[in-house]
Amino acid sequence: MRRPALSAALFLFAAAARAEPPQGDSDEAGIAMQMTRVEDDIKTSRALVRDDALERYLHGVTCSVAGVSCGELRVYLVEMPGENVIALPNGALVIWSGTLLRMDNEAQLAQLLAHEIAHYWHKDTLRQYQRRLDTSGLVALLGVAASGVGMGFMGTPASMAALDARYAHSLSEEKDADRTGLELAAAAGYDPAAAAAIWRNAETDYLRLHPGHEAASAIKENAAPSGRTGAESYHAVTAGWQSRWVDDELRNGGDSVSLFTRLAVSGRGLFRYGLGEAYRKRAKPGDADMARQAFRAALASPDAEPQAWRGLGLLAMQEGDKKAARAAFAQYRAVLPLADDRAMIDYYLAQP
Amino acid sequence: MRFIALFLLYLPLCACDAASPRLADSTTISWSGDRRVVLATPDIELSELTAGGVNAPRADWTEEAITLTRKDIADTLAARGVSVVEADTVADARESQLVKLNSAVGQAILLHLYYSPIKLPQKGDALDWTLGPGVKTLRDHYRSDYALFIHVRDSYSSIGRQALMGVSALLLIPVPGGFQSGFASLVDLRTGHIVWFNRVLSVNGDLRNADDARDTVGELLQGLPL
Amino acid sequence: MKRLSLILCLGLAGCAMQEMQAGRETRIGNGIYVTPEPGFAEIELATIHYWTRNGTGLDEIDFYTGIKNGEPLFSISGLAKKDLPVFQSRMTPNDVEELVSRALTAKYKQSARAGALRPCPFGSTTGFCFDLTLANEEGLEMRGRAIARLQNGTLDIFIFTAPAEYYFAEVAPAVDRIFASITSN
Repeated sequence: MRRPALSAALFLFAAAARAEPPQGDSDEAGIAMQMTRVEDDIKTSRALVRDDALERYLHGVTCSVAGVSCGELRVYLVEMPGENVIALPNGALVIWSGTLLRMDNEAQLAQLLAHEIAHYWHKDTLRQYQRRLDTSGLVALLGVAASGVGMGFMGTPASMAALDARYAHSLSEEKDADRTGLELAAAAGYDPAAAAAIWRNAETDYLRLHPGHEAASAIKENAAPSGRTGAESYHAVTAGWQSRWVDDELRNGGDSVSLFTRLAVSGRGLFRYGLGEAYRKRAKPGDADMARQAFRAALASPDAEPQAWRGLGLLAMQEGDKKAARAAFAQYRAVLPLADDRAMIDYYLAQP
Repeated sequence: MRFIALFLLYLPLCACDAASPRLADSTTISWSGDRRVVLATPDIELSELTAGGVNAPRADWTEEAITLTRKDIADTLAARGVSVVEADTVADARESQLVKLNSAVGQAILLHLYYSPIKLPQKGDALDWTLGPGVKTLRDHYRSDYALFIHVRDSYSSIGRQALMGVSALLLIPVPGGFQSGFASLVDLRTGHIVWFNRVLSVNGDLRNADDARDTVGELLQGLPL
Repeated sequence: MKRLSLILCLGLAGCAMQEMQAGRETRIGNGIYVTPEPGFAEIELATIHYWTRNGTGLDEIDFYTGIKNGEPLFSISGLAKKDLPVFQSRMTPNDVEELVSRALTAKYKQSARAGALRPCPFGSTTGFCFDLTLANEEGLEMRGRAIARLQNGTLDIFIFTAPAEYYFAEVAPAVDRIFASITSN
């Protein structure tokens, strides 16, 4: 039971404290302002990937699924390990570079973009931010947007996932976006099986944030392949960046073994190298052998990855096998004469 | 940055003036041409301090504060016969780096010039900092001899927080009510040297409404040698 | 973290910016000595130990000595201890380079990258050096240089960082001389 005196005192203190937020704050206007600010920050962010060919490519894929509303959308690629695509209520689409690493081909990317564009069309993101406004009485939009757009590395993969989960769409929103997304991608001529592949491949964290795809995955998995996958164009335009993005994943902390295990199935040398490094760094019992196996597979790939020689050398060095280390490092130097760390490797080679 | 402001409120310190401007040694203002100052985009961020103690930036408040601040500075300097060129430094990567550098230098000045235990032995009591000759970018772009930089971080309580403060006050538990900290610097674009610096520490200004913004700008520009 | 610690140091005995005497060898820790250059001040407070000429957040040489297996380089506000990147005795210089870029990335929440890994004299032994490209929390571009040695399963490392605009080039020559002056047991 409230005592009147206490209530009055509270009121007085509240009144004496700092000024309240201005009245008449229209949610939508406030959110629009936030989003403009966020987009301005993205445009000048050091994390933004500036590559004309890649930009044009991403814009092209976006437009093919977005159809006539393509003019409302701007696509930004930011360097950020992990998988995320987020559509801001103002039409800015942000893709984390880790996403491009995880997509096998253009069709998968198109499905993911179509899904997010559907959220944008359905104004789900606007409602998402409005929900935060209503339920917590405060606006943490820049915090949300910043974590979503990857303007900075906000924390560990687990904490990022937890943060994103708080702002996840509702189950019905996800199901609707799935449906619309599939239609958009099909209309653009992409293989629907790609949609199932995304969710099948997605890591546990991402699935937790984006529930409701189990149904879509199950349906499409059995569909006969039809439509294009765009694998070649996809790899051509992302090839120059992938080594850097692989390094970002390896450097991100957390266990990259499961990510690279899946990616390495493709047989690509770079991903087998990544798997080798992931095992070498994790160094659990048995990992050293798995690392060695992966490095050797990387070198045996049609697109052999020369960094695997260094991986073998470092592994041997750590195990005290000087002969094997020297042999591997010599190969590394021969194949990558201009390697950035060549002075260090030469030093390893010169050790007795 | 908010840690500094937080503790500034609760630790007994010397020199607790609302504003305390400093001039670099042997500063004399000179003009190679027109009396014109370029105002970098004010580096202002206004946030909402939530009941959970989180600072949630508010872009709408910030935009309003930037608009008001720009206007007040232009008016103030016009009255002194100095024209202000309002730069849009955020649109240029290089120029926004200079603004960020000014913020970092300003924070070093706050730490080492204004608080005696951690003065830098080499600099002592002198305002002796520079943004470097790279400011030539601004000089060439805006054809001005001086640049003015403003840096403000401010936080306002949401209603939830105020209620908490009310209860806490009854229970005599200090809860920060929001804070303001800011500084301004005048840079000679011919050398990069900061020739005037002023820090403001005040809990009463509110950059979101015109009257208070005018007062705050007045405090920020105290001692400006123009 | 640093600024908070510095503010807290107000009023504590022995807490102050000490001017380093140029030319006079000074002990860093773990049997390592360096010779300061003119104009550097030192702050040493618990696990924080750095030199600066122009002030905290501008040019800084951070000293980390005797880092053991499983220990982080430095603590990061907002990150639980279990989430901090840690040194491991099995790490090679290549791995230490990556550890530093990971730790700086986590600290500033901006991607930090390292490169040009090379052997460097570290007192009487050969250690290694590498360069850094990073940014502070506000996105101010910074550059850095690190020198380190691995010995008896522990890591000693000194990391110099400064804003890329003016400050790095201004202070780097003095830092190179400081790094070159390292002597160790």
